[in-house]
Amino acid sequence: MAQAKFKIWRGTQDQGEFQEYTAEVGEGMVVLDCIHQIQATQAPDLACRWNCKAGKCGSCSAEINGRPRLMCMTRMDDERYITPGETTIVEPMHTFPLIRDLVTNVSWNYKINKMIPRFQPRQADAPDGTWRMSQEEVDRVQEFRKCIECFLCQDTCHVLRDHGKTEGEMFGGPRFMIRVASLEMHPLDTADRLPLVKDSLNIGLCNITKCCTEVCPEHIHITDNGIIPLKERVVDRFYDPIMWLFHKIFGDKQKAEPARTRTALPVIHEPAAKS
Amino acid sequence: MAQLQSLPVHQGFGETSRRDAWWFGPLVTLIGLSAFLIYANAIVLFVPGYFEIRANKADFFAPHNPAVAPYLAPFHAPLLYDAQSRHAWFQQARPGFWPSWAPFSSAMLILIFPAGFRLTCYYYRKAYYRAFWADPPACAVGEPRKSYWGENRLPLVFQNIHRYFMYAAVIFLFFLWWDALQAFWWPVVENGTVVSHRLGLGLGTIIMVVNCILLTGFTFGCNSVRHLTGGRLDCFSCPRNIAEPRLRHKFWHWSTLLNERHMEWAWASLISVGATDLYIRLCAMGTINDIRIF
Repeated sequence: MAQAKFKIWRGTQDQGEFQEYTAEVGEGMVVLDCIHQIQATQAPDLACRWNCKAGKCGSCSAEINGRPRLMCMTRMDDERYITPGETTIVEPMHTFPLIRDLVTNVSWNYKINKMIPRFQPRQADAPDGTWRMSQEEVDRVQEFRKCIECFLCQDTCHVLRDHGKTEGEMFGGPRFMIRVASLEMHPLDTADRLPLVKDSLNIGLCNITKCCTEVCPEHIHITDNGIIPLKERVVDRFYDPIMWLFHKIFGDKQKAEPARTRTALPVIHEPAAKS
Repeated sequence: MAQLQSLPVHQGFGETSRRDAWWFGPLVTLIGLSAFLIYANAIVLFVPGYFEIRANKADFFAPHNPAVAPYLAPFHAPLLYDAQSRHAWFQQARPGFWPSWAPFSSAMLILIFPAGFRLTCYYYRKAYYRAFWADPPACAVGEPRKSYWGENRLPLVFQNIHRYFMYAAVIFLFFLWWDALQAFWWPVVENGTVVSHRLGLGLGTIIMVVNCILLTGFTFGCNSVRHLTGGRLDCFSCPRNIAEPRLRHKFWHWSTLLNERHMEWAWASLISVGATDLYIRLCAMGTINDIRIF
């Protein structure tokens, strides 16, 4: 087994230091394995969040050699992130207030989340209270549903990280642009969140430098499929004079399409009769 | 704990815990875009003429100097003003409103459109915000300025004009494809005059066609095209609620396929425009000779 050296931040935001540790690295080990080993052998009070160790819970976000990553999805033999023979630096996410060691307080994100109106489906398509939609309609939003809320995109977003736009003229951040996109592009949803996106979540603050897309562990195309389409919708509504005139004359018919104007609905499957 | 300190915040320009070559991408972008900008400005400001290959290579503007090849350099497409080119829309050396003391190139009248298209393009914005403005220079790397307005206020709120430049770019594509088709139709010159035209093919023809293909891929993969073809819809099958693939969904899907490689299309088409222009100009100046295939 090879030995790997680590420098891990110990302490709080204002008081702390990097401490050095050593871990025995076996085949297939990830950074989180090493952190657990260090907890077990050298630093039982090392604070870190983790749950699934499979890249699905979004708990173990940290900065490994300066790169926002999930610790459980960063293999020790991945030379894009870990330099062999060199000390690996593990820091907490920089954008959020530090509680201790590698654990940050991400509750700001939950406050932003509450600003977004929930899913508001149109009137049911069928008498039994169900809806019909085709796969092609929901492909887009299914990508956004992969989000595990690890908040790495929020951490790396320079609008939040370097410019501190978390209050006042604040920026909602990539995670919540994706949440809005998942609702706005939903074929059944009727709510209008574009004024919120423009004026409260301040999508104009995003300068599409795509760091959020680069760090997303679920490989969601945050910028190209979420933020830019939302920016284009904001242009439609608030900046483009021709589209403004178009909507004035013809109306925005695709929102709140009443079910009764639809043609007869195909029955997807009959419920099996109970014997 | 001895020597306590606060968590390093990386507020200074270039400060980071990253160890990889994060500066490499922005540096390549900086060099590549700067080279193109220098070339384009030099051509437009300091090299009048030489946008097509004429019989007298020493004096481009000499009277009765017919084109011996059907090419047109893309920086001059569409060619609005020229006294003798058959590509010209107006057969005069310069427009009447142009001050006589000012240098003139037909490219000055049209380049604002492709330049505006690329300047407001979502990919190029990412590229030059990072490489030229360092906002941010790379992900999780410190920035030189604390203040920030994003694209919420003047002047950057004007980036929202992108779709209008896209409309212009689509129109320009028609001109460029028309020029590429004309590049198959070669003049037959006898005793200094064009007597007829016939089908032909030169290396320049192939270069112009490839350039058009790359520009088409770049233009139709534009995020605004993607939005206007179908991305703006929440429901592709509404209001009839039919599950069959809809035409607008197909357009959106095709644009999305191009958009997934928008960066590659952007660079390939930028390089091809510059290279096509340079090739035709070097042939026009007699520095190199075009290869005539038939």
